[in-house]
Amino acid sequence: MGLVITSMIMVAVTAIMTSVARGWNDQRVTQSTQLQANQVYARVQRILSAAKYVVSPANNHSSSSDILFWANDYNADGAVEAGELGLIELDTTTNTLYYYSSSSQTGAASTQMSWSTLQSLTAAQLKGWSYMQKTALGGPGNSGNANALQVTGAQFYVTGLSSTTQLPIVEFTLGFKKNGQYVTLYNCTTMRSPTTQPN
Amino acid sequence: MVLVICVMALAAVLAYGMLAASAVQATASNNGVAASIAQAQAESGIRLAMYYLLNPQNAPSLTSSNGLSYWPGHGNITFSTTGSSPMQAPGNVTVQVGAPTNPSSQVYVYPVTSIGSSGTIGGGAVTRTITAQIQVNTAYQIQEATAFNAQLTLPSYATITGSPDAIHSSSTVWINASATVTGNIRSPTPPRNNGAWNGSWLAGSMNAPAPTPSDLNYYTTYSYQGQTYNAVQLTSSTLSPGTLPAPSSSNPLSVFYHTGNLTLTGNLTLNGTLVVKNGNLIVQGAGITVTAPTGLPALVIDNQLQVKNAHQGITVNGIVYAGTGFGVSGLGNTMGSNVTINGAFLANSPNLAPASSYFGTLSVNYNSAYASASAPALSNASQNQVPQSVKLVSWNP
Repeated sequence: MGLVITSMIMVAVTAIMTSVARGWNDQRVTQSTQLQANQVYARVQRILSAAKYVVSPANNHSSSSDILFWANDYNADGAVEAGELGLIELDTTTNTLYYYSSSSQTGAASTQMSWSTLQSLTAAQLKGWSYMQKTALGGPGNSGNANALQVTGAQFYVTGLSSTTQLPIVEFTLGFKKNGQYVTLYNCTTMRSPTTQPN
Repeated sequence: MVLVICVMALAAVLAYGMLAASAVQATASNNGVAASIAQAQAESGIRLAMYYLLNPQNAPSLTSSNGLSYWPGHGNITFSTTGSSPMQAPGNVTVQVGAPTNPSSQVYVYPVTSIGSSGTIGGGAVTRTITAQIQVNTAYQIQEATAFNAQLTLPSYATITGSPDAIHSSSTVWINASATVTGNIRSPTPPRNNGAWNGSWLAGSMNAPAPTPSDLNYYTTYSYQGQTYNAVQLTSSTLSPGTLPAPSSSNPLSVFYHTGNLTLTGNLTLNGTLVVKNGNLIVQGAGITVTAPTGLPALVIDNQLQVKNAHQGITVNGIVYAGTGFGVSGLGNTMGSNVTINGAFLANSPNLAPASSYFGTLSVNYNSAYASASAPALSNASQNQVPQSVKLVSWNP
């Protein structure tokens, strides 16, 4: 009789422990995903808040899965050079969000870009420039780690580029997946030091 | 008994685990709040720097670089609401403003570092640093009736009226008997007054208050309504009503220049700007009037504004820059001649003709409300620049 009671109590305790452990694990995964997603958001916001002008998507135009922008006027000449451009793009093959920026401001990277040239510039062309380097803002990159945070979606929308009364706003949506759990972050940032449309 | 102890141990482990998880969550939450506070403080620090760079007169302290005064920043700044029950925002910010670069005329770029701190929230402080470059566009601003870059002796024939300031000199000011000054005098040492002076002495520096030849704008080109125009050269050494070029679409503000001495003859009326390079501007006629366009000076003369002979007269509505001051041309008697400037008179080396050689009058009338006393591009010397606009040129969070 005593053994039966003891067994029943032990089963109950085991059930409770299992339940609590699963709960903790789920909570850990959720918190971890949320924290990592916030980190990615913070990186994107940091880059876009310093941008000078957005080339694409166009102002008040439909959203895009990548964003091409004038990242910084490093030489303060008021003109866009190739090495001052930035691109944030989602790589759907590796589920990684990449930031492409120049490692140099000299040589070919110092080539001035007219507005008409910028408008016809594609992401593939920019990524093909030898001085462009890519940095993972979030996702497993080329590690192939299926348990790492996956960036499954990205959308960018720009408004207020031509406004004289408010700072331009970049809205962005980022989708994440980890251990079967999905998180979507909606956010926006203002460009703190914008300029008018380059010539 | 053993069973109870085991259950109690398990319960203790569970309780500890729950508490630990809760504590981690609380810490993460606090860190998020602290990071937001630090970021907001850092951004506020940059905006505060922009305000004080645009409005240095409101800054709690100033430093200077090449004669340009600016706010150098401050440590541990806090923000609070105003009113009867002010509330202080959490956290603080330290702002550092570096000496400006001068990439182009009347444009100054300041490096600014703003370090926002959350203060002690949850046991530790979180900081965020933003570096930015702030561009300030400036304009040359006249602030007195006369400005001289050397010792001044004001002859008896002079009447200077400034509201509120009459004279600004980088050296000693002597007011001779019968000279009249209404308004304050700013100079490094108190004026030596033997004339009629109604005003106060304001301690000034030895920095040049007037343009110098190296920073003077000769308006060879000028901007008007977003377009750039060229000044028109006057080849003749005499300018009379008959030889004055008519206004044209290629020179809409009637800006003219001449190299060498230029003589103005009677009854000439010029609504424009006259520039005399390497020479004097000689007034030899009565009824001459020069009125400056808005935003430009009336006369820019490398050497002197001179009067020749008796009963001559010129009225200038605008700023007059005469590099070497005011004098007499030739040996003729100048009795009854009148020179009136409604604007400002500026000179680099103020040689004013002594009363023993000029027998007419020289009157300068200035009021800060005069539109004619504004020439924002007259000089790019840093010490006379007043901020006009400010913008962020770079931002690195």
